[in-house]
Amino acid sequence: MMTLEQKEQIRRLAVVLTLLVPFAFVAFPYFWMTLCSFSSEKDLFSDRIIPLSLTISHYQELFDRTPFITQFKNSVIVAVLATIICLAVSTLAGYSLSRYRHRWSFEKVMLIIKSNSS
Amino acid sequence: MKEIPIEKKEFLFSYLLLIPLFIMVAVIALYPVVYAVILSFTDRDLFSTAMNFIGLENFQTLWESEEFWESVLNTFVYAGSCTAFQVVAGLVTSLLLVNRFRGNYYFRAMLTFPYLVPTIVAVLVFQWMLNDVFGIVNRGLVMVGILDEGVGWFDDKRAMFSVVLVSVWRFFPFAIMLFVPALEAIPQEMFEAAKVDGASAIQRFTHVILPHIKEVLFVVIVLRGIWMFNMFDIIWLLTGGGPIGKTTILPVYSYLQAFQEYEIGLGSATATAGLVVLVILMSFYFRVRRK
Repeated sequence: MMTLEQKEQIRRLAVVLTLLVPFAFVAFPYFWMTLCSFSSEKDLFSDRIIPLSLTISHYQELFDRTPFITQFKNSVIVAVLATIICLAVSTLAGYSLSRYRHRWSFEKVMLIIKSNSS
Repeated sequence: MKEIPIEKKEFLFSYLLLIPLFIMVAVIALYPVVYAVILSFTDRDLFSTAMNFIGLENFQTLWESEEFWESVLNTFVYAGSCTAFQVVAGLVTSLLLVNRFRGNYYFRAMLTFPYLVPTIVAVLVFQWMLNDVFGIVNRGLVMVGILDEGVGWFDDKRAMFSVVLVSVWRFFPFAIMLFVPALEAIPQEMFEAAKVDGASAIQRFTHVILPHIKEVLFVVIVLRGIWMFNMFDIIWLLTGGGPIGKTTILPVYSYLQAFQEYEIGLGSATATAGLVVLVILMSFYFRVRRK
């Protein structure tokens, strides 16, 4: 006869093992992307699944042949500015919506969500 | 000078705080929508500024076009299946995540990852993984013996499946992010009471969990439904709406007409038609919400 604690442990193990399914679904594309980024062209376009050798040539190319630094800078600028503007506008509105009673205030919130969607 | 009463001051102040928001919504949301609706009644094309009002002719063209109805059908198939799979996958994963075990935190962090990558990255990775010759999916399935030979994941029969797969992968973490807090807010005593009363696992789900997360479930379904209905980037980058229009949903159809057929008016009419459907769905949402 199993004790209650053992039962609980088995249940936890079952939970973790089941969680590995969504975990694999989520993580595999990342794993594959990373692995491919270190594989040589020869391995990528062959029957092999596990690459023969690893290379960092793709990363060298990234810095040598593409304006990666500029693009990265652009991304940072867009992200920072968008965050600042968004925070400024939405903290003011959020304060007003939560602090004061408005008519249709829920609808206004939905309008905000909707306008930012997709 | 007359003193303004304090309530009135507060009232004015509360609206003052909302002004930036209203300006922003007006400029980036309202103006384009109104402009698109106006354009949908014109014969504007991409190359000229000439614009004649032609009434409902665009809508009549759409009504008689087979492609339009096909894309309407595709939209409902896509939005419906994406929303369903995302909600089910999100709910099942969340139910597992609220259990106590070691490493729980890492699972939660990892499972929100797809929501954080840029769409183009997700699309490129999946395009490579689903490549018919070199893709790992085909190779893996052949190696395990499920398939005799690789299949084209973006051919006319499977393109919709692939598009839905990528969309579910990318967006089901959103459901997790809303479901987990809702599930954790359920008082633990409810479960213990249900257990003492001899409720089975299914009964515990339908009688304890579902009533508690009903609201959140509803919000997730509606928001995901709307966003999937409006989805453009994943489909456009993954299949471009092809092959032969099998994955063309309304936003993609609208874009194709406006910028590849150069019929801005017709494209706007398609967008307006989609908007009308969404407004109907939204009003339904508000009606249920208000109850």
